[in-house]
Amino acid sequence: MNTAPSDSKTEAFQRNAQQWLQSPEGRSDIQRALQEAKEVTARLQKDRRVDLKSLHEPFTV
Amino acid sequence: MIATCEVHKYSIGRLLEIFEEKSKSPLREVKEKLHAVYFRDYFDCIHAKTVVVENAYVDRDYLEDYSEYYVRCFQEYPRKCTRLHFFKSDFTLAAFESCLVGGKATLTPAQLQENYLGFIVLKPLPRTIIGRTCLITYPQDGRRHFPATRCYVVNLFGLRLKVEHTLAFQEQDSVVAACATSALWSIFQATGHLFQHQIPSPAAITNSATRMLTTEQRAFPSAGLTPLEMAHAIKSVGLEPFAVNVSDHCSLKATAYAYLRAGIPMMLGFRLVDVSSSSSPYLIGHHAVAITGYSLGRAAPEALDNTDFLLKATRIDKIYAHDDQVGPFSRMVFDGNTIDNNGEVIPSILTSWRGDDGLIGSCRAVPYLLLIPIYHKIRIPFSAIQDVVFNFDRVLKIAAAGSGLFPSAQLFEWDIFLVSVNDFKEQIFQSEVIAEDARRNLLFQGFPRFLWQASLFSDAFVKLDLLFDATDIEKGCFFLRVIEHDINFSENLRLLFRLDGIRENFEGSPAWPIVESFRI
Repeated sequence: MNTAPSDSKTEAFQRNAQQWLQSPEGRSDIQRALQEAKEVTARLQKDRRVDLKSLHEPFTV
Repeated sequence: MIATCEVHKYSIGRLLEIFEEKSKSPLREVKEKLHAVYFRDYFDCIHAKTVVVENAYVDRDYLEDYSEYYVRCFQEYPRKCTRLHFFKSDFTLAAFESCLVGGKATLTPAQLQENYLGFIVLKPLPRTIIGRTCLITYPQDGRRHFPATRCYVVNLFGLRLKVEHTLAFQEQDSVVAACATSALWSIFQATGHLFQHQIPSPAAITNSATRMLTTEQRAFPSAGLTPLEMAHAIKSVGLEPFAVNVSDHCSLKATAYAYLRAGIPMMLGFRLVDVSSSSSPYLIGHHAVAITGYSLGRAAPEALDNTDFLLKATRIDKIYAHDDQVGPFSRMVFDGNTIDNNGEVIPSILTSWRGDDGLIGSCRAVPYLLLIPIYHKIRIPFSAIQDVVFNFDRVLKIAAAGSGLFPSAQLFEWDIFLVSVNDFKEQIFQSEVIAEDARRNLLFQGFPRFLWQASLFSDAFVKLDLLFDATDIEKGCFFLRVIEHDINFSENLRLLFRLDGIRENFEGSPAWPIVESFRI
């Protein structure tokens, strides 16, 4: 159930947003954004991995 | 006969003479140490006026190191230290003595406490003389934060004094402790208090670090520990070591901030590079320090990894580290300068180290590793939370762009940090923004001992908090709930996320459990 105030502005927003969500452009925007997010998080995960060689280098300074 | 107590007017010159006199290190060597420069600036900053010298002081940590190594040397080393106490008010020995015995005193214990700045233990060793040191932090002014500190109680000739917010520091002696041991010793001072484990001496840390591993190196004299050996030392106190690659400065800031907020200090490993000769920077070696605080000095956050994801942690312009060869809470500055290594541009941090040219700052740090000692129940790492929040941020921004809601979505800023349930409930208790009913529910709701909190800021106001169970398993659904701070903002989110087609488009995204919570 929608609890937001149902004034004309809200109704217009709902209509526009609904149209965008169901349009081919909207769907394609969403898919692209989600795919980009997936790629960025995969890259971040890779970057956070510790170089195993560095675990054997002593701190000598 | 040496008097038990002395009182001196503070000046950096007098302090270095005391260092020489009590440690038997030549004044020339004392003056050459980076600590001399560091203490000059630090005591100026915290306005030291008077030094009380406590001779023949028995220091537990030094005594343990002494029994482990120095007692067996042919050369005789004293087993007692000297402790120097610093005050930001002027007084004489007569006034101090009168205060102790309660005579007609012009100086009261309350005044001494009010003006107390902390202490330095001087070890009776050649060269490496700075023992356990507890000094107040730089003034906390809203920009500087020192969450990994605790209270130390001091007994000075029967007078009980407190250093409210600090973390013990000491210099490596290069015998029972190298830099890594000193960094761990400082870190355990905080975690021992936070997670109730025993705090080992430097000798015990080096012993536990090297016990399990077979290397060609001997334990004592210690030539330095590897991160793997440090991980063993962390396990030996009952904590879990968590290692993260932090070659990227955003990642360093975000990760360090997230754990520091819960009061957990950590080890930063970096390459120390001398850049005093601009043509050929060269590697001095690998160094370890304990990170204890940060400064949020940047006016705007930095975007993460070429995206538009903004984290509050990227406002950090300095981190404060216990660098055993510089001093406690020493500044490491993200000044944006890089090192050119044969065409390869490497991001680096300004340090207080001297290069070959003798200038402070001509050695730069190239960070590569964070080693965080965490309580075994903290199972979900920061990275997992950041990834989920990043996905939710994407969902918000794409939906906002398509629908026309939230015109300022591109400036949404996230504050992600670890919090204990007690601190979280205190935060809720003190909140003046969360609605009364919601506060009551939150205060009575059961929560795990540790939580990840992600607060969304827009136009400098917090709009909502996302709560995650830090003790869950990574493959599980560790999202707990949303806390609404701005009813209109939340109503708009409900309006958006309840539209037809939202499930179809966003189900399966790591952010879906959060989106779904707005559809109920």
